[in-house]
Amino acid sequence: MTAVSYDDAPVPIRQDLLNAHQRAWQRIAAPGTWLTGETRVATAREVRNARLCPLCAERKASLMPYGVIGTHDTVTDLPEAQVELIHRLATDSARLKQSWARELIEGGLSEEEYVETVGVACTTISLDTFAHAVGMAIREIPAAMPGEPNRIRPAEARQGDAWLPWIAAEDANEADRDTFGPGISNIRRALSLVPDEARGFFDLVGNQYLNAEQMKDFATRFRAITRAQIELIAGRISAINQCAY
Amino acid sequence: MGKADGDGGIPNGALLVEFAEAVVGDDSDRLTAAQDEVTQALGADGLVDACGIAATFNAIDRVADSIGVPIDDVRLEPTAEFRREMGIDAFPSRVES
Repeated sequence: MTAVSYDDAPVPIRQDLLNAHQRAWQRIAAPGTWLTGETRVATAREVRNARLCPLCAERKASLMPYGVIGTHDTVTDLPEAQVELIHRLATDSARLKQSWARELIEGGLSEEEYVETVGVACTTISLDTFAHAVGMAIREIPAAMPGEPNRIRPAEARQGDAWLPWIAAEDANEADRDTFGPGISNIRRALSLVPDEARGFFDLVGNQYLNAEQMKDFATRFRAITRAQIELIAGRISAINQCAY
Repeated sequence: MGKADGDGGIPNGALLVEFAEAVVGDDSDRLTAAQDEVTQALGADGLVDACGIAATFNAIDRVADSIGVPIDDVRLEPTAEFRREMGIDAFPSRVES
């Protein structure tokens, strides 16, 4: 697989960020825990296609989006439930509902596939948002890599306070205590039903924003902009997205 | 959410808010102008970091919303009044989480 390049970026991109983006694209193309490389690449393609989907546009404009019935415009052969998950989270994430998530799972999408799909879709959204924000074309999605998912569900995962099972702080094993254990925020354990997806997503977060240790350190300046400036951007984006978390 | 005005006590705050809004908006001229202004004020490295933050939160918000991640216990009480005053508790994702 050819590593993504930012040679055409209008401003220099720091090396650690480029490295993190190269790892993220590689993860998208490679077999995951529950999804093949082909399915993960298809997920990334469907994220981009969602912006052009007439059904998604109609729902976004509606005061009652769950009352708008129809068929998504798709560019892949992903199952209907997976397309629905990808399109809704890409275009109308503030109005996702627990009952909707349960319907997708009862409709045949496994909990693990749901979580891994969220991870891949959100990684794609993050990479594409970065390219758009900095003023360059979104990168070409890499070709899928061969191989089979290992389909290992962490034994310590169980249903907690989120919609999907996760590894609760008190259940994290010794190896995962720094990742999902006590003192770790809920958002960092959100994808922990698929631990490799959680680690991969937060590898990207750590290089674009701050890693877990840096987040707790308000005395050190880690970026070219101040911590207050960082949190101002973060807060404004989350307010526009109407994210309550 | 409504338009945010002013620096909010943060250097170049209004500029960064404008940039954040432009990134998730659909006006390419507005984004180009905001990129130029951030670069002039904070340098190319500042622009890259601002892009990284915007890219992170435009994605991580969707992780939270699609998994139904509850607000951490340690943050619930200290933010209760703020969330109520800002109308955050009425966000659809909050009602369902």
